[in-house]
This record gives sequence, structure tokens and C-alpha cells, in this order.
Amino acid sequence: MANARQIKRRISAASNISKITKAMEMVAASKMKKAQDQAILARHYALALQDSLQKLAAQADPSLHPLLSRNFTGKDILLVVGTNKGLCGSLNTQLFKKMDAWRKLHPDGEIVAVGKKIVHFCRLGGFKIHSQFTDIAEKVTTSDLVAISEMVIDGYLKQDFRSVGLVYMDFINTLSQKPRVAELLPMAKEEVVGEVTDGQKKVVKADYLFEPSAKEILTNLLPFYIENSIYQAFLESRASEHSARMVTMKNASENAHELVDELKLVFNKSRQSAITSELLDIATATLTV
Amino acid sequence: MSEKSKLTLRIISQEKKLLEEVVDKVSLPSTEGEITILPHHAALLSQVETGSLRFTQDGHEQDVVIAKGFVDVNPSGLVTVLVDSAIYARDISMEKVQKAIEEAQETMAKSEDQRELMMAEASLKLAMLELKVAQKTKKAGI
Repeated sequence: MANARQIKRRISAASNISKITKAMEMVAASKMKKAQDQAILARHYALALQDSLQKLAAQADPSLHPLLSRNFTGKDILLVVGTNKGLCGSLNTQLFKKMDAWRKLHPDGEIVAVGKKIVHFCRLGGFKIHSQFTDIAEKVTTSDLVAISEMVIDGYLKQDFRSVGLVYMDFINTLSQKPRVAELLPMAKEEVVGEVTDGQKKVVKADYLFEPSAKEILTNLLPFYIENSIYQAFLESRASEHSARMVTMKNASENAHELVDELKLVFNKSRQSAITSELLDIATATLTV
Repeated sequence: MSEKSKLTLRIISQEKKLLEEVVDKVSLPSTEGEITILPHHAALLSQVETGSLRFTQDGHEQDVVIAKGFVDVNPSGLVTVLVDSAIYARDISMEKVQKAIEEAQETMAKSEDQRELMMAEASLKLAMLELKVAQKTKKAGI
């Protein structure tokens, strides 16, 4: 049968693919371990920092620092942390959905795209790109992100940005990651401002001492907090990326193996039927002689 | 001594939580000078300079070298130290420190980029301090 050769080719193609996906799975698995550890260990810091800042923000006058006050003019910015490479399941698609939802609320919003996949989607989906970052190193360090955080802070201080949102994949565990939308700036939530102006609450608040002064600490702590939030988002999204890729590649290898098994069955069947028909031919030929 | 009259010290660096222990006393370098925190300290939020932090636990003193950051003293006795990096004095490796010093000096000699210079200077300062503290701990025979 002419078919047999074709099937044979498909079998070898599928098994080659399974070898590649297996290799990618193992690469992702080793990167995943590192990325997960980094993300989980850094969480303590982010949480503690947030805690201190909330205390500070609740007690200091928001007018002390422009990052704590609201901007009423400027653009809405969304910082989307995606991946440079594909083949990681529905990870980027989930981010795209969040971006679409965000655009409904902020029709004139602009995107700060991190990762080639996000840039590509922005072009396809007609999002306005404010800026793009596609060359962040595999192992994220805070110094890599200085450019991004400086841009965000400067833009907000100059009142070019009205609000800055952040979307990334929050790492929950190897099998599940969830897209998370966070508001980066303005930091002053309505409640915090309300608390300060409210006379009654003022009495309740603990008397915190600030050294050297609340203003100075705020000035140092706020940009630092934003940097750290962005850093943490990057760590989480890296951990999510590698986890998602590993799971996807594992599924791909399994599917390829299944396909090889199926094709082998078809191949054997066709070979068997070829032999049978040949035997029949020989039998009829001998009978006629 | 009841639990109430002790402090809970947490040192958290950007990479990880270094320690969370119940201690008697903490001394650390704030921007306004060295401060010592005892139980029942007033609530305080302060900036921390690069330097060495010393805490006393059951009569034993231990040193931790910290980079700059913040300290948050909670009225309930929880002291949270948030720093860029932190390392136990006993964990400091001399070879690593020497290497860091050499590298930082090299960068400072070559680089002209303002940011790179600043970072090299900061890491040089930290490495020098680690060296000093490590030598002190070795002398004390700990």
C-alpha cells in the first residue's frame, strides 16, 4: 500500500516532536524550580513592605508626597507583564482577556508592554502602545527594572499619567496561575484619604515616630515600594511562565506519544492487509495455473 | 521573663526572610545614628543605613550585616527590618568578600556611567563592612 510510507513518515515526525517537547519540558522544569523559589522567598519582603507603607500612608498626610495624591489629568497606563516566548499554554491569552476588559473601562488607555507576545497582541488588537520592553534578562534583578519603574514614577509625577495599572500572572502553584490586575498608582485609595481627614480616626491611630521625618521616609519608601511591586510582578510572572510551559510541554509530549501509538496501529493494520491481499493474489494465481 | 517583655525580630531582605526570632535587644544603624530597641519601645518607622545590626538572644550577641533599608517597630513588640540584603556575620565568606571588593574597584576604575559607579560604590561599602565585621567575629573566637 502506498499509504504505508506516508504513515511511517508521520510516525517519525510525531516521535521527533515528542523528543523536542520532552527536552523543552525538562528545560522549563529546571527553570521553574528556580523561578518559583525566587518568587516565593521574595513575597515576605513585598508583604512586609506593603504593611509598613499602609501604616505610613494611613497616618501621614497624603499631600506630603505627590505619589500619594491623585492626578486628574493625563493618560491611563496599563503595565502588562507577559512572556517573550510562546508555547506556554493559555498564559498570554488570559492576559489578553484582562487587557480587553481594561480597555472597556479606559477607552483611551495606553499599554506598556513587557514581552514580545504582548507587543504582538497589542498590534493585532489595536491597542495603543506607550512603550515596550522585550529584553529583560531571564533572571530578573531589580536593576533591570529601574528603567520601567523610573518611567512610571516620572510619568506620574509629571502628571502625564492619571493612573497606572499592572497586570501579570500570579503564581499559585505549578498547575494553576491566575491573571491579576493591581492598581499601582495612585496609591492613595479613597479609604486611606478618608481616614486621615476623618477627625475621629485620628485619635485612634498609634503614635508612630518617624525618623528622620515622615516626609523623608515617604519620599524614599514610595518609589521603592513601586519598584518592589514591579519586581514582584516580574518574579511571579516568570514563575508562572515556566510552570505553564512545563505543564503544556508535558501535555504535548503525552499527546505525541499517543499519536505515535495510534499511527503504529494503523500502520500495522495496513501492512497486515497488504500481506493478506498479496497472499490471496498468490493463491488465486496458483489455482488458475 | 514573659513573652510580652521580649521583642520579635524579623529581618527580611529582597531575596528571602533571613530570620524571625524572639530576642531581648536589637541595635541597628539608623540614618540618625545608632539606635537600640528594647521591649516596650514606642512605635517607630525609620530608615536604616548600611552597617551591622546586633541582637541579643538569651545573653548571646549576634551580628548581621545589613544594607540600607527600613525598620518598622510595632507597638506590640514586632521589629521588622526591611533591607536590600542581609547576611549573618558567621556566614560571611572571606574569599567572596575579597572578590566583591576587587570587582567593585575594577568597575569604579573603568566605568563612567553614573548609575554603575553608584552601584559599585554601594557594593564596595557593603563588602568592606562585611570584611570588618567578619574579622571582628573571628578575633572574638566565635
